[in-house]
Amino acid sequence: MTLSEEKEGAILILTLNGKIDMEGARVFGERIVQILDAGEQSILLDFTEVPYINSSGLHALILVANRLTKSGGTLILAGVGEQVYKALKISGLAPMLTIQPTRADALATFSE
Amino acid sequence: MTEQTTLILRNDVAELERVIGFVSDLCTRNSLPPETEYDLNLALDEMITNVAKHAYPGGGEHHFSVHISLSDEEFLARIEDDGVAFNPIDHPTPDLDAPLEVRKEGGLGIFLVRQIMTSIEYARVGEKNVVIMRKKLSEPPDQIHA
Repeated sequence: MTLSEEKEGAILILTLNGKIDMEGARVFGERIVQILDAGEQSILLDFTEVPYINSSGLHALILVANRLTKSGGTLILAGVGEQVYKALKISGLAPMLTIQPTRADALATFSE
Repeated sequence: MTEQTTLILRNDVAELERVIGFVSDLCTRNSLPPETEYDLNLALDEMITNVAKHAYPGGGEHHFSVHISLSDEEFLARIEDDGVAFNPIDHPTPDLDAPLEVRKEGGLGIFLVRQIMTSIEYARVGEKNVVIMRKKLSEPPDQIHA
């Protein structure tokens, strides 16, 4: 799992590349906690290059969503593939997250 | 057609790569759809990670086995470890309707396995945990068990 970051105005875009298995969830979890601690309030997670997620990854997503909900921030996921979406759906997370087809759609949603 | 293999794994999460590599080759050889391969990998990931992380709390190197068989009708994985007794079927089901802020850590992995596989059985046989997971291959790959 590799991560890359960019800012688009007030929005922090975190692009994930690779499997969110236990190791991927650790890498993602450590970085996202730093980002949240730094006070970022608008976070876009680009999942286009994420082929796989397991329960460790789902827990990491719950953590991010919880922190942003408490601080009044916004989390949007973009580019979620069919299989990853299925895991989000089975685990009951899908309806609690904002998921947009593409990064452009997600960016437009932030400005609504 | 039936293919069978037994893999002996160390209690190290890194061993999962071997299993996933094996399952990937198995699925390719037998023309199983990518959705099925994903489900099998996820189920094995969750169960094997559980064993590697929790079965041997005293640490040290231990070995456990994963027996895999594939027929035209079903995929079966039998995971046997001689670690502490753990019945995954007894694991409480997470409250999926609970708001995210009250969601508890844990339970999600086993829950996922129960949804994507056709059945999961557990028995304590002597000093061993034996988990058998099956997935019927005739059903639509995206069917979710309620």
